This record gives sequence, C-alpha cells and structure tokens, in this order.
Amino acid sequence: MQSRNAGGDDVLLDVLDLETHFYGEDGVVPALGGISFQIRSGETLGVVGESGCGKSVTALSILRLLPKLSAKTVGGEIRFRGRDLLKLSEPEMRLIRGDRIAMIFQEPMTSLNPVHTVGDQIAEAVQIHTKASRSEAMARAQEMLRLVRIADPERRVNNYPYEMSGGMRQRVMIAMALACTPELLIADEPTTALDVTIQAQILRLILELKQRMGTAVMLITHDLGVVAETCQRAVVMYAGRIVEQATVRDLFARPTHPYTQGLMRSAPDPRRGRQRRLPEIPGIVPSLREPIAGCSFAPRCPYAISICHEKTPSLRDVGPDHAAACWRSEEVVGA
Amino acid sequence: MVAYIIRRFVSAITVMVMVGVFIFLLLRLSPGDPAAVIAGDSAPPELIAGIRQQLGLGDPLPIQFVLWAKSILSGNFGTSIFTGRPVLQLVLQRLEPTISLSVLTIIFSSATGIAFGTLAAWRAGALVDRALSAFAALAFSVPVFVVGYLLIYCFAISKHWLPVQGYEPVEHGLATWFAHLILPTVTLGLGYIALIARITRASMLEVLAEDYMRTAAAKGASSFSMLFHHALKNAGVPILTVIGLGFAYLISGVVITETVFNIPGVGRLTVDAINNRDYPVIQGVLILASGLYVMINLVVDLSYTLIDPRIRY
Ligand SMILES: Nc1ncnc2c1ncn2[C@@H]1O[C@H](COP(=O)(O)OP(=O)(O)OP(=O)(O)O)[C@@H](O)[C@H]1O
Ligand SMILES: [Mg+2]
Repeated sequence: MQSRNAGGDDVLLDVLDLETHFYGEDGVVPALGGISFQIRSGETLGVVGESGCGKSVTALSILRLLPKLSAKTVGGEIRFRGRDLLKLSEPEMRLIRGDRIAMIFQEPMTSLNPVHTVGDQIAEAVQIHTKASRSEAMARAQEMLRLVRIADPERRVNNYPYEMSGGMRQRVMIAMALACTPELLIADEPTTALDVTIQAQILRLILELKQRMGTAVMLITHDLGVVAETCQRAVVMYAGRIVEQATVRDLFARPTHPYTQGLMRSAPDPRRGRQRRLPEIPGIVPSLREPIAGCSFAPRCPYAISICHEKTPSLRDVGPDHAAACWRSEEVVGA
Repeated sequence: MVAYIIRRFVSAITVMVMVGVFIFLLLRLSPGDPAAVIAGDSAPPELIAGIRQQLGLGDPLPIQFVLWAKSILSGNFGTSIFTGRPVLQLVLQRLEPTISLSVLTIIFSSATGIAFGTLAAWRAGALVDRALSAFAALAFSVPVFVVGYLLIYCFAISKHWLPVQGYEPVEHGLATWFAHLILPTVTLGLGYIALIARITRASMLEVLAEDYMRTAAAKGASSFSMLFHHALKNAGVPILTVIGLGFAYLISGVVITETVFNIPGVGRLTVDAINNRDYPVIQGVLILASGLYVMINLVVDLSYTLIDPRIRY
C-alpha cells in the first residue's frame, strides 16, 4: 500500500478512496473508481490526464457541486483539515465553499452571471463569508480587481461581464475565488479556453497570488509542461483512477507507469512551444460504461501481460513520495 | 434608446389606427342599415333617422372615418344610445372596480406564478413539481365562470367567510374593498398563474443549468440566493413577456369575472352594452382596451432593459 504519512504532517486535503458515479439512461458510469491523494498546505498539486478521465469530477466531488439528479459520490472520504466533507450538512458545506475552498472554472465566458456587475459578484463572495457591509465588500472587490491587475478597477467594478474579454473575465473569476483568501484553490483548466498569449499571464497571476496568500492550489491541466513549471507534486489520472503520483521532479526523472511514460514520450518539443492538449497515445480511451477487467490501460499498454488483463493494480509505493498502479513497474522503470 | 422608443411609438400608433379601422368598419360594413341595427328591432323611424344623422352615414366612408377618428382623438367617444350619456363618462365611472380587480390580479398572479414556477424548476421531477404541473394544467383548462361559482359556493355560501358578490369602493374602507375582491381575484388569476408558472419553470430550468449557477454555488451562495438573486433575473425576459401577453387573457377574463361576481366595472358595462346593442359604448370600450393593451406591451418591452443589461435598444 501507499504510505499515508508520506512527506509530513501538514496535510490540508486528504482524499481517500473517493468514488463518484453518474446515473444516465443507459446505466451507471463509475466516473471515479476510488481515488486517493493528498494536498499539503501551500503546495501546488498538478492533476493531469486525457479528456474524460475524471479531473473535473474530482474537483466537483470535493466541493460537492455535482449535478444533484445525475451524479453521486458513493464512497470514500474527503478530509479537509481532518473533517470529512462528505459528512457535513449542506449549510456547513456552504460555509466552506468560497471561503476555505474556492474554485475557478474552465469557461470564463459563461461562468460569470451576465446580469450582475463583476463588482457585485466579487462582493457577494465577501458578504456571504464575512460581516462586511456592502460598501466594505465593494471596496474589497475593487482591491481584488487591482490585485488581479485589471486596469482602472474603480470603473471596472461596475462593468458587466459582457463588457470584458475572456482573459479579463478569468481575472475576475480569480479575484472572486481569492476574495476570502481560501486555504485551497481548485483551478480546473483555468487557461484552456483562453488565447495562447494570455494563458501564461493568467497562470503566472494564479501562482503569484497563491504565493502571496499562502493558498494551496490543485491545478487541473492537460499540459505536462505546465505541471513541470508550476507544481511541486502531480497526480496522473486515467479512466477514473490515479495511475501514478509523485513529486514533479521524480515524475519526470522516473515515470513509472506506462501511461505516464507514454504522455512524456510524446511530450512536445520545448523548442516548438507548449502544446494545448495531451498528445495521442495509440489506442482508445476505454468507455467507463462497461466494467473493465484488470488494468484499464492494459489494452493500450506495450508492457501488458496476462495479469494486467485480470486484476486491477492498486497504487503501490515505488519510491519515497512516489506511487504507481502497475503490475510491472520495475520492468517499466528499467526499460 | 430614444430612437427605439420613437420607433415603438410609431408602430403602436399604426396598430391603433388598424384597430380603429377595424372597429369602424365592424359597424358600417355589417349587413343592413347600421342605423337600424343600432336602433334595434322595433325602433321608430325618427330614432333611426337621428342615429343616421349622428353617425354621419350620408357621407362617403373615408370622410366618415376621418370625422369619427377626429372626434375620438378629441376624447369624444360618442353617446350611449341606451342611456344617452357620453361613453367616456360611462367608462370612467366604471373604471375603479375594474382597475382594482386587474391590478390585484396581476400582482397576485405574478407573485404566485413566479413562486410556483421557481419551486417546480428547483425541484424538477420531484413530487412538488408534478403536483404543480397538474395544478397548472387544470387551472388553465377550467373555465373562469366554473371556478368563480365553485369558489362562491365554497367560501361564501357554505362557509360565510367572504361576500358572495358585489363591489365596495375603496372609500368604504380598505378591508371591505379587499374582502369583496378576494374571490374575483383568485378566480380571474388562476389561469394567469398557470401561464406564468409554466413559463417561469421552463425559463428557470434553462438558467439553473448554466455555468454561472455553479459559480454561485462554489461561492457558498444559499439556495434562496441562487434561485432569486442569480437565476430569476436571468429567466426574467420570457416571464415578463408572458405577463404582458397574458394581459389580453386578463381583459377577456375581467368581463366574465365581473359578470359572475356582479361587479359594476367596465366588463359589466360591456356585457350590458352588447345585450342592449349599444354600439357607441362597445366601440369605446374596444378602443380603450386595445389602447391599454398596446401600451402595456410597450412598457413591458422597455422594461427588458431593466432586467438584462445586455439588452440595448
Ligand atoms: N454530466 C455528466 N453526465 C454523465 N456522465 C458524466 C458527466 N460529466 C462527466 N461524466 C463522466 O465522467 C467522466 C469524467 O468526466 P470529467 O468531466 O471529470 O473529465 P475531465 O477529466 O475533466 O475531462 P476534460 O479534460 O475534458 O475536462 C466522463 O468520461 C464521463 O463519463
Ligand atoms: Mg474537465
């Protein structure tokens, strides 16, 4: 088993065997098949994986923001500073959302309410979680806009989202998320929808503010390059499971899961700039609808032997603060 | 914005002219001698001649129309054949009960309809939602007079909680005024509530699935704030539209409700005028009601800008 106390005691978020299912017309989809990972105070954890592997579902499960009718977290624990979020009442959970755990979404164009000014929307977060008066909250909103480097914040607080560009709206989302100085910021592909020229700026802004506020960040991304540049540790997901987790240095030096290796082998040439999407690995991503026997990566895996098709490997320590879910990790690393 | 208002005004005037032509022709093109039609079956020839004189029926149609329109624009809607009093005066006298009933109904139905629709959308698929849908279907299909007599039977005859019928002006005291209007308001409002609730539910369902609703939840907003602060304003344009369009439904409902509850309002005036073939009164009421309808919808269109900042004219 993977050791639970790896790397110290300052664990902010401890996710244990988290299982989330979707209920569709054609049956149950186990979007998360029991994932475990930790985030320590102040660190940046990268979460990578191909589209549909469950990154967003993980984020939404933590904040309990899954669509009520079609999804449910059916098992596991989400310990935030020792308290299991899954056991909290809805009002208790509301006190945590936006105040102690905040989230930035992928789509800045549609994630702001079109009929309220951006100032109102930032101030609202402040007023929900503090006793601030409206004018104090608006002052805070202006201060946050300045912090995320929106020019002319005095005027911009009164803007509606449609009066702003995508990059500016994402800055507003960041301002809103950080207005109550949360302990954890979940950023779900915060730059994917933006212009390439703006992506780096937004990323740098998040990291700078995180540093200043001491916030831990769970950075969901398609981009291994971003993980290498910005994160201390990383989690690699495949088909609703974590297949490898390690410090970023270790992950790049000694990728131990064939899937991680595949991702890196086809990683973009740094001289040609960063790639937006993860590179293609031969084969297709398995459908979560049909139950998978054995390792879900086995059909695409060059190392697969018979056990891989029969039994699902669990995460095992392969080094200090480094775990992989692979029956053949020794051979994989040695190769 | 100013240009838009002017444009809307011009189109409103065009609509009114068309309504005017229609109402004008309604009488003149009906088979037979309009004067005889107006005067009724066993009218003496002198009366028919007098009416012919009053309507200027000897002139060519276009001239008749211009003269007719001119007098209406100067506030002269003609005189009632039955009572011999100016039509405008008759309508103004009957205005208070009708306005009381309409305004109360709009307030009551909008509040109830929006609340029901919001609740149904929030609990979509659940028992409350299905119960409300069933209620809406029923409320929309049962005729106004059936509802009216049923309510009178239950609340005024079986239990003597509310007056059976009639109207008390405001100056006789707010409490009696209100007591007399409760049953008529519920009667008239039921279908309107169903209409508003349906549109609210559909519009809210769409809005609740939007990304910004998840953002609001991620901030820690309460369900109440999510529904009424974040969602309702976004769902508002179709709701406001149906409230405006439903006004036509309200106008026809007022006539029936006033008859059922014996309220001496413009609706009753109209029914009486039709029974008496009092054409000048019918014409006057038709013109005033159409004018009101056109104006309400103009106000509704302009108020879109208040709820959605992206709408600019
Ligand atoms: N609304 C939904 N209804 C049904 N199934 C869903 C829904 N949302 C997600 N899923 C299931 O959960 C899986 C994981 O989805 P998720 O959105 O977490 O992927 P992701 O890793 O965030 O992908 P992307 O990189 O494209 O954002 C999907 O493959 C799908 O099977
Ligand atoms: Mg996603």
